[in-house]
Amino acid sequence: MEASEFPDLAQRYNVYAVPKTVINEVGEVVGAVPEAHLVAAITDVVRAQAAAAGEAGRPSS
Amino acid sequence: MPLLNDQDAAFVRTRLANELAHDVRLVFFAPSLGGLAVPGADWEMAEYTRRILREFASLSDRVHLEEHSLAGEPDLARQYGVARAPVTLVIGAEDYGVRFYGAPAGYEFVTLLELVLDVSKGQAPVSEATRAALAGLAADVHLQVFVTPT
Repeated sequence: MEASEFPDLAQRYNVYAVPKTVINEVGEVVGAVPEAHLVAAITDVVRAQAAAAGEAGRPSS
Repeated sequence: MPLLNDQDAAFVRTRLANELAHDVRLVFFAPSLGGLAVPGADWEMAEYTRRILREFASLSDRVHLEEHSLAGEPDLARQYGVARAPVTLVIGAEDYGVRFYGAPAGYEFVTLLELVLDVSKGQAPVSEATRAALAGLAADVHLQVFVTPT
């Protein structure tokens, strides 16, 4: 995603430095980080979203 | 006058010849194709992208470029999940969801080359540990990597 050609997206995701990786619209990793760092960030986002979906799906008491 | 000099063209031609596994389709959507186009920065970047893709595809008979228009072919764009342009979909044996938004200019031209080679092989050059961790994810992931040409 070429940041300067899509300024609305760059603004939406607060892209001030590149490379910046946005994960499922909510997580973010700035810089060319080691692979394991990126994997950890992806795993965290997916887990957090699954947990949030679980909470939302639970009947309130 | 070509955008790629002879030396760069030769480098790309050699890598494509040696490393392509499956044929690759580059499905390019411009904001508009023919007809009315508003000249300006957006139009120039889209035309630059079209030119560099044509040169790229000319360097291997196993790289196939398809040129479309976002405005002119909304149904096809929707089918590919494309809402913005310029965009280049990089498709191999399957559509792995790889999209390059914007012009592959400057250093990002190398990114395009590497994307094409990875998609062709159907595999990204990641470690076994990464492969295992990603395979264990409970849901699909949408990654947007923001870059600049310099």
